[in-house]
Amino acid sequence: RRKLSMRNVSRCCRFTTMTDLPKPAQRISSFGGSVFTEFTTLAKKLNAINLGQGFPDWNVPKFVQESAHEAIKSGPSSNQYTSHMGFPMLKETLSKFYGKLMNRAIDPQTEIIPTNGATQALFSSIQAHVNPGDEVICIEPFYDAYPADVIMAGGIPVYVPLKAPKNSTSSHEWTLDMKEFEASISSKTKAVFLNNPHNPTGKMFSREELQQISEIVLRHPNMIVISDEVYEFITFDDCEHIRIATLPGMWDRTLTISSSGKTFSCTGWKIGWAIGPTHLINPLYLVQQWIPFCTTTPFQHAISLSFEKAQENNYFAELKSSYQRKRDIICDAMKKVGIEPVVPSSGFFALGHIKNLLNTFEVPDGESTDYEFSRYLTREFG
Amino acid sequence: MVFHLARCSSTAIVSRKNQQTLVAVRAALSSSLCHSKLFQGYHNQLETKLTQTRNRSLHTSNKMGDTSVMAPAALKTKGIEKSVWVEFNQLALEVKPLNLGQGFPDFAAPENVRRALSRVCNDNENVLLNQYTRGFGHPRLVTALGKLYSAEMERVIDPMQEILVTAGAYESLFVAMMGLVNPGDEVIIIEPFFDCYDPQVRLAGGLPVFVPLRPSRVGTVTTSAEWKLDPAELAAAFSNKTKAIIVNTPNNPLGKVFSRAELEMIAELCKKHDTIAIMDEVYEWMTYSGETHVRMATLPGMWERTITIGSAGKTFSVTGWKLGWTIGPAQLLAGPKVIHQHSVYTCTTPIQEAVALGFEEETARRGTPECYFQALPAQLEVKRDRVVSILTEVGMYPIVPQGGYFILAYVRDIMNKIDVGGDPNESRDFRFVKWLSRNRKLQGIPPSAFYSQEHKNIGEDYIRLCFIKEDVNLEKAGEILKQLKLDIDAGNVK
Repeated sequence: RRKLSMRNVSRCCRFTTMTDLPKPAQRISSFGGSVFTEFTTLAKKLNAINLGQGFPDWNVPKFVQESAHEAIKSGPSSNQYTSHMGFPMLKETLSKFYGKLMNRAIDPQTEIIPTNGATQALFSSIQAHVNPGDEVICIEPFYDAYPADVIMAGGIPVYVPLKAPKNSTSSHEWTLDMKEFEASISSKTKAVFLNNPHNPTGKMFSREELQQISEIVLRHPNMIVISDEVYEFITFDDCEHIRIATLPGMWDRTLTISSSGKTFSCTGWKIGWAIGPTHLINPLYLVQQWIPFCTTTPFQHAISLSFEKAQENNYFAELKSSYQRKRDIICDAMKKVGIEPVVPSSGFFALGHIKNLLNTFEVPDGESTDYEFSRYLTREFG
Repeated sequence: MVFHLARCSSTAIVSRKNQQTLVAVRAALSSSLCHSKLFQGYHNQLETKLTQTRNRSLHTSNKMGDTSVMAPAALKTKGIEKSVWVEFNQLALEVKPLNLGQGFPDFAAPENVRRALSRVCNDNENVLLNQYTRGFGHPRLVTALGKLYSAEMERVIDPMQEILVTAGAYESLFVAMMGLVNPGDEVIIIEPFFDCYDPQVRLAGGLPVFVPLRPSRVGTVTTSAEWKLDPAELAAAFSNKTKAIIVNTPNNPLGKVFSRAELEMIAELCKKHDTIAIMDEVYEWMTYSGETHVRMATLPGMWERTITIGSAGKTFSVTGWKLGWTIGPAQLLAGPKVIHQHSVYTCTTPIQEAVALGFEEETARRGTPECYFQALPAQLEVKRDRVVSILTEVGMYPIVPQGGYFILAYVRDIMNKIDVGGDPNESRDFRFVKWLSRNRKLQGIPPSAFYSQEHKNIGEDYIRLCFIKEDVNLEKAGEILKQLKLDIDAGNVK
């Protein structure tokens, strides 16, 4: 039997080389461990304050807790399988809620699919639409799942960076060079990941930027936009979140993905969704049948109830203002120690320049400065 | 394609990522070239199989909406458009029958686990229980699983290295295929099989090879133990391309509990051919009097090459919680873990905590009649026996299951006496189950859905019924079937 050679793998994913034991699939051979696994594990080990991975350290809002309680107790079917197309009540709720936001009638039956978190919506979108050899554009810096999803589908990630002036102090300054973006599109390009609001910069794409991106995408009939909008309700300074699917011609080309975890401070609940035109959502229903089959029933129910209650008690406005306060606190704190923040307009994260601190720690050979600084901060300062 | 490498930027902030991404792109380029060659071969084989499965009469009325040609879906979704559940769930919504089809209880889940989940969600002290937990499994849960399965498998299982928690056994199966199977690899599937195995193997680019269990007698009451593999047929299915074999024990839909000798036969072939055993053991706690669930991973030489899959949904009657696990040696779990990391990343924290609490409680009372792992099968055995008598009375010969909560009944004689109509290209059992649902408001599942095209004839004379249902509903089903028999005998069936 022909044995294929092992490729390089990182220390987080080491295999023995006993040739008489079965080997993993080749499709994962280029993957290392997740950055979150390394740093969350380190934080736990050292009992450090974890400002790394994106989750709140406070409780879910009371009305969300109550929704969970109501859902779990609501009857025998509440804890049993629901449809692979999603829990009907959640789809109705989302269609009304997003219908208003996107100013269109969204069909709950055919244009919405709940998933195991936005992560699974991203994975399924690629599985459903990308063939081996297809190219998918990932705008850098990117959430690490994007190229991984593409590679697992046999696709090819193509990278186009956001660029910023050297001493950028605001996420607004990070922009996409539209010529470079268009030049990266080939006849093989199937999709582009658009993360808006953007993690990790906190950038919110302006209407003009989205318009330019749309015009380019519309010139390429085979392309779709996978718009990851999980931070859509955590926006600051009265910046407006614009959904690319609402731009002229873009509804038919866009899968809009979001998540309850960020919106309702319940990242551990893992309920997300994709919204889009039937011809783009249908393939997601298909692959959903074979990946998880369906998503957790009681939590789909609970999120449905939570959306209704949130609208009653002005939750979204409070969410924005409380995160904005926290953004201001962290940016001030960073400035005080010489880390110049790139003030974000949205989201959970702030980037900071560490150039003033480079002489305070060692970077071993083969390691990168940012990884080593993060380890140093965790080890020495908790 | 080479110039793609040059496009990778040198953005300072993510310099390490650039290294990784360069490796990834390089690997993707070579693997995509590799894929192109293999893909063509695989694509040709898939086309052949698609032609075969098209004759399986998938329900074509497109209730899911128009699939226009703009931005067409990935090729891998062709030929696997509709699962039997989708088709029959839609029918049930339309007809509103007494539904003994899909396998879930129609009664409430056990009080203690429901209470546990509610408590966890409302815990104001331990706030992190509603946030992301460890991706490969919530520590409290993997510890509880490690303790239980170390005892069950009589070996020390490392919870951090040898257990992966997934979004249901479904995801365990999916990540096992994607994490272990390469395009062109063969995967042996024992029939009848839970219907997701076939498409999941194909999604990973693998080629399913089907080997059926065959009955020794039909036309009378039998037991699932009588359905056996032909040793020569099984041995012939292995080749130098065989990567894995999938074995479901206790088996859905048959209810067969593979004996030690049967598993040893499979184990010998796995060792001989360097094959992985993917063991779907979700019904592990549901074995009836006189039966023992044997775990392949405990057989000599098999721990190193066995993946064992379990399910909280089946264990605690909470199928909607969608939580499962995979147990095996670290080397075998490496591939599935990477797929899991990037597809789901982590599973629902409060559910994991509640299931951990459930396991702690049940492990503490293991061996007592109050333990759910004993109480549930005891309850189900009574239901099983009741359904066996009902079916026997009405001339539908049951295959008495040794485990699980489904029962197959031989219905050929009844089918022959009814003009079920329907699409003549569709299997007999599909047409009969639809007829029964529309005309008598009782729904089951057609077992030929669990067979390859080649072996559909084995399943076509049966109906599958689920008996993890309230007694009152099982009795209602009995009434419907008795009336059907009376009407057939009186020549009154339309």
